[in-house]
This record gives sequence, structure tokens and C-alpha cells, in this order.
Amino acid sequence: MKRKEMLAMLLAGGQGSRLYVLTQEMAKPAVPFGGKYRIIDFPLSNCTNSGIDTVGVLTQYRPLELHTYIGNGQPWDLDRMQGGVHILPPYVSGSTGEWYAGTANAIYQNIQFIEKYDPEYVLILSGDHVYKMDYSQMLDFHKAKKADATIATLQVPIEEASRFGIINADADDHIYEFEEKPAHPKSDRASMGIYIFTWEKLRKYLIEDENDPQSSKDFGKDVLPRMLAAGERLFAYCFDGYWKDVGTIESLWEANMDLLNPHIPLNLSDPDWRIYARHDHNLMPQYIGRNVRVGESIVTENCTLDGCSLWYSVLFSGVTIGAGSVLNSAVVMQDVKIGKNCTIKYAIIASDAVIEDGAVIGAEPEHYHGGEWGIAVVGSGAVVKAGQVVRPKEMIKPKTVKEAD
Amino acid sequence: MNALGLIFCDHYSSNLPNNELTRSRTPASLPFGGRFRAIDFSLSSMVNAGMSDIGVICKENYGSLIDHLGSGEDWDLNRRNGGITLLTPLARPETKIWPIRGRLDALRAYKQFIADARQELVVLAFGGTIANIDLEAMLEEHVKNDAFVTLAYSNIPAYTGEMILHLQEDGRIENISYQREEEAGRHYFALGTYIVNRLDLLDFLDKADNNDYTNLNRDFVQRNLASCRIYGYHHQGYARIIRTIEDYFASNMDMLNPELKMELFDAEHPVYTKVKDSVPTLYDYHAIVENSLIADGCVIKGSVKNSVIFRGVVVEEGAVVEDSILMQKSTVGKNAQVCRVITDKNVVINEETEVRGASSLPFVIGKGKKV
Repeated sequence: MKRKEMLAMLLAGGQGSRLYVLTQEMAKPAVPFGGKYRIIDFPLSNCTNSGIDTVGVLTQYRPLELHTYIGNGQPWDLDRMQGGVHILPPYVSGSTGEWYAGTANAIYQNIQFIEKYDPEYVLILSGDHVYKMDYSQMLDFHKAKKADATIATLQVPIEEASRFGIINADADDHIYEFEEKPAHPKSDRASMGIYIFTWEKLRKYLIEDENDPQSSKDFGKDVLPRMLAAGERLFAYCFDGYWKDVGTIESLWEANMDLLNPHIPLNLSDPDWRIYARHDHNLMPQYIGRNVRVGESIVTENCTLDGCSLWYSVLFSGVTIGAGSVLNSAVVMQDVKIGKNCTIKYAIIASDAVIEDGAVIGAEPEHYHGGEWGIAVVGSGAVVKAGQVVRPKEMIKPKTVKEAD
Repeated sequence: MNALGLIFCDHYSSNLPNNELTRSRTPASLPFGGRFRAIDFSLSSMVNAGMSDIGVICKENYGSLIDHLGSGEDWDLNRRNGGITLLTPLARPETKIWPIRGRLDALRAYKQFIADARQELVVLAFGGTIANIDLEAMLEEHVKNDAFVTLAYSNIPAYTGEMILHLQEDGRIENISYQREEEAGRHYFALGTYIVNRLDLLDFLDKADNNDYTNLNRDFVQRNLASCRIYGYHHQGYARIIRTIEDYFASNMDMLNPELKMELFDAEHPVYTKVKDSVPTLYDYHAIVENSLIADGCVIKGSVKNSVIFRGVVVEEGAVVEDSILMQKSTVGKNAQVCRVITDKNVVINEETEVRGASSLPFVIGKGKKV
């Protein structure tokens, strides 16, 4: 096997339990985003665009959808003779099976895979973030600093810093302290969960950590603090750009809305940094019929709009919307059928759901007085019967029917 | 069904071989319906019939075609054996470049490719035909009829000089005539799709070499009509052959009709095309859109009516686009007015400019031009 300078290991096994009904049937990285993408398209496209051609994708929770989606890696140009994308599920070893017990343990269990490529560096990524990043620049930084580990960091508002893992580094970016969700943060540099390790060092610490019965086998909580305590060279790389953890219903909805805001620097149409996705074939262009008002929205192939009005919304492919329906600040995923005279506001409708005539889903926060407000969610394949109401913050489970009590 | 595919990408069916749209591309690579190219239809028909060994005969102007086809992976034709084979002009030491004077001549030129194939049958198709032909059904009929050749036809108007089929009740072709100027109306018009047994074709190609036959319809079909079983296959769905600018305009506009669109893009027989990784289309606050097909990757800030808009088109604020076809990455500047116009790829219509085509003939703006 030809030696690789750096390979990427993408941690995609998380459930994403705070996405509730959206991740009931699929892992978080497979969750659809932005009209034609899945969350995992971002790290995978970033790898390709950064010149990384070998990616291990570690899966565990509900992997079917994700495995099907990744396939042979062709959409991301990761179908390679040498390297390419490899799906790495947990496996049975000897007489016992073993799940991935933590992020560090997941990599530990794949030491053999990494060694096959004999890389100098290993990039650790997660599949829950929407961002565009050139990992090769981070690697240059790692090399220039002669670092053993480099952590990508993002400047966050200091008042929000207590929600993140905070990195304290000196003026030279040399890390001297980690604080996990500190009540009184000393800095505003948050860890993005993206690490580059010099493989020789990481290998040593993964084995040490694995042999420590007290360890929770996590990069942020165990491996990095262990390296710091041992006096290894840890550096903080400063990332400047759009980055969003889409781990909650609200943040996923917000990130979709960010695509509609020209002032937010998440440009997906940059020809020099494309975000690739697996596409469905046989899709016609979208058809906009008569008496349609569509503004401040993005619409994807194969949608059919007729007599409806659509504002601040994101439509995935194959959505049909009937006459008289009004959508505002809605995220509507693939192949959803929306009938006539429906009202859908501040909502996420997951793929293949059917919204029958006259249904009302969600409401504007300023016009809702019926209790705690939140984004309304209809799970994939669910049916909302004619005239039914799905209140803000209500969630309809996948493949269920919302009908009159 | 086990068949070899051969797709012609020539200009023989075109009445306007040198119009703005086909000056720099073959009729097979004409953009169609917002995101397709004409050849997608014959390629997809073949792939949907389980064919995986397809030769594409390109004589000239095939740069855009090669770019479109790539490795064939978008049609699932990047195979270890077979897949897409581009049959580009060939030169032999003794003949220099084979001139290719007709479709039969092209088959003579690539006889070795046909001889090397292992399939029993050969499907010949014209890459400029816009039709989603069920080749599986057609192959079955061919075998059932024990036919020498089967030709697909549709009940559409023919132009002067074009071949018309006269059929017996059982579908056998009795006679062939050529459309005369005074005859109007619909006819059984051959769509340029033929099925023939491979060994029969090879035999005939030897004969064609000896007699220097070059014309597929006249020499292969018509000469064998009396002595061989030649059948028609009635393709029921949408079918057009783009021969003129009017044809091109009308067939694109047909896709605004939901019924015709359904006929062509039948869910059971998907039409595949090159994947471009465009972003979804963005509609600005002021966008006004009516009865239009719009591909991905566009930014619509102005008004678009009764139009077909390809990928990556930008319509700026205050611009009005009506009854027009805007190909990939065209830009319509602020307050520009565009009516009955076809813009080729990368056309720029400047701010405050008005471009209007005649009601009989749409105005064509060539590739990359600025107006």
C-alpha cells in the first residue's frame, strides 16, 4: 500500500438524540440539509477539496441510511484505487462483540486500518457540523508548529463560551489548558471537534487510554488532557468562517435559514469549494405553475409549486405544494406532498411526509400564545390528516398519522 | 435483453446543420428541458433496457458531447467490460481519415467494433431524438416478429424529404415514401431507432462495402424491403426530432405541459443526465415566476414567465423573461427585457437591454455572446 501523508477518520456513529424524530431512523450525519445535502457531505467534501483521498467513516447508530448514502464514495470523488472512502462499523473480535465505547475507543479499534496506510498524520472529524474548511491549511499549521496535536478552534461570543469546550492557549497558540463548558470561561476559543494528530503520538496515547479503566475513552475528555499533562506539544488552530453544530432541531432549522441570508458566509455555490452530494436521477427541473409567490427561498429539482406562496423556506427535491398553501420559514425535505390551503410556518417536515389539505403546522413565535414555542416537526413518512393542527414544538413521529382525536 | 447500442451524433436529420445552436455541437448534445441533453434520451432508453455496451459515433463537433458523457458513470456505463465507447473519426494508413458520408458509411467505418461485440442484436439510434422509447418492448417485438430490421416510428408531422412508413396491419412495412412539400398532416415518421440482428448487419456491411452504399434508410432499409421482414414499432409516447430552431423551441416549451412532460419523463423509465452538483435555486424577495421550468443553481430576482431556464442562470432585479429558453449560466441584467429568445450557454444580456424574437421564429443568441 502506498503511504498516505494524512488520512481522515470521520466519527459518524452518533445518534444525535437531540434531533429527536429526525434521527429516529438514521444517524445524525445522514440528516438532510440545505435542499440537497446531508450533513456528512460537508466533512466529506472538505476532505476532497483539501486533497485528502482516504477517509474512514466510523458508523454505529442506525447505519443503514448512511451506508447506502456513502456507497462507494463516488459523489465525493472518493472512489479511489488507493484509499478512498471506507466504512468502518464496530466488529466482533474473538468470541465477543464490541461496540465503539467512545470517540477515542472507536479510533483505537481501527488502529489496524490506519496502519495499513502508514500515515504521518491523522485528521479526526465528526459528522455533525456544517462548515467549509481547508484541512490542508490546518496541516500546514500543525507542521509549522511541530505539534503533536492541533485542535481547530473558533471564536465564539464570550457570553456563550460556557456552552463549549474552551481552549486556553498562549499568544503562540500553544495550548496550556482545557476547560469543558466552564462556568467562567477564560477565553473565547471553542474547540470545533476537529483534530490533527501526529500518528505515532496518537497511537501511543490511544493504547494508554484504552488500558486506563478510569477513562471514558473520549478525545476531548481523556486523550487530549492526557497528552497535555504529559507535556506534548498541543496547538490551537484558529478557524475563521461559518461553522454550525446542527445537533438540535433549532440549530438545524437555523442553519437551513442561514442559507437564505446573503450576509451569512455560507456560500455553497463557490466553484472552488463545491459541496458534493449523492443525487437522485430522473429529476426534472422545478416547475413553478400559475399564481405562485416565491421569495427569499431555495427550491430544488423536481419540485412542483402551484398557486401557493413560499417565503423564507428551503425545499428539497420532489416537493409538491398545492394551491392556496402558505409556507413561511419552513424546511421541507425530499418528496413531501403538501395539499391545498395548508399553512406551514417555522417547521421542519421530514422526507416523504404527507400534509393533507387545510392542515396547519407550526406558527410564528410572535403570534403564538398557546404555551412554549418551538419549531414544529413532522417525522419522515408521517401523515397529517386534512385540517389537523401540529402545534409549535410538537413532533409527529415518523410513519405515524396525525388525525382527529 | 442482450443488445449492442450504437448512437449516431450526426447532422443528417437536421435541416439547419449550421444554425447558431448546432454550429459548435452535435444535435445529440443539444441542451433540452432545463438540465438534459438530447443524447440522454437514447442513452437512458438503452440503459433502461439493460444494455451496457454502447458505442457513440461522433463525426465532428463532439467536444461538448465528450465532456457531457465523461466516463459514462452518470448512466451507470463506467463498466469494466463495455460501457460507453466513443467512436471518433478513424484514420487508417491506406485511407487517411474515413470521410463518413452517411450513417451506413459510419457503420462500415466501425465494422470491427460491431464484429467484436458478442450481443445477438444491435440497436441503432439517433442521439438527437427526443423520445423515451421502451427498447425492451421493441426488442421483444423484433424477436417475436422474426424481423430483419425493426424501425421505431411515431405519429408526428414529417418535413419535406423525410422518410414516411406505410405499414400493413401486422406492423410490417409495406412501402416507404418521402414527404412531399404539398402533403401536410401527421405520418408514421421513423424516429431513427432501428433494431437489427448483428450478424445480418455485418453481412450487409460487407455488401455495402462492395457496392459503396452509404445511406442507412435508402440502402439498408429500402433495398431490403421486398426481400426481408422489416417491421415498424409504434412508440406511443412523446417524440420529436429536432431539425430546426422552431422544433427546438416548441419541444422545450412542450415540457411546460404536464401531460407531455409525464410522457417523456415516465417514472418507470428514468432519464439520466450528467450530475453537476449545482446548489438549489434561490428566489429573491422580488422574484415573480409563472409557468416555467427552472433548473438548480439559478438565482431569480426578476420575473420569469412561460420559459425554460437551465442550470446556473441569473435573472437580475427588474428583468423580465418571457417565452424564452435560457441555457446554462446565461445572465439577464437588471431591467432587461427578453421575449421569444433562446440564449445559448454563457450569454450575457446587459442591463436595460431589450431582446425580442419574431412570433414565428425565436431569436437565437450564440454561445458566450454579450448583448
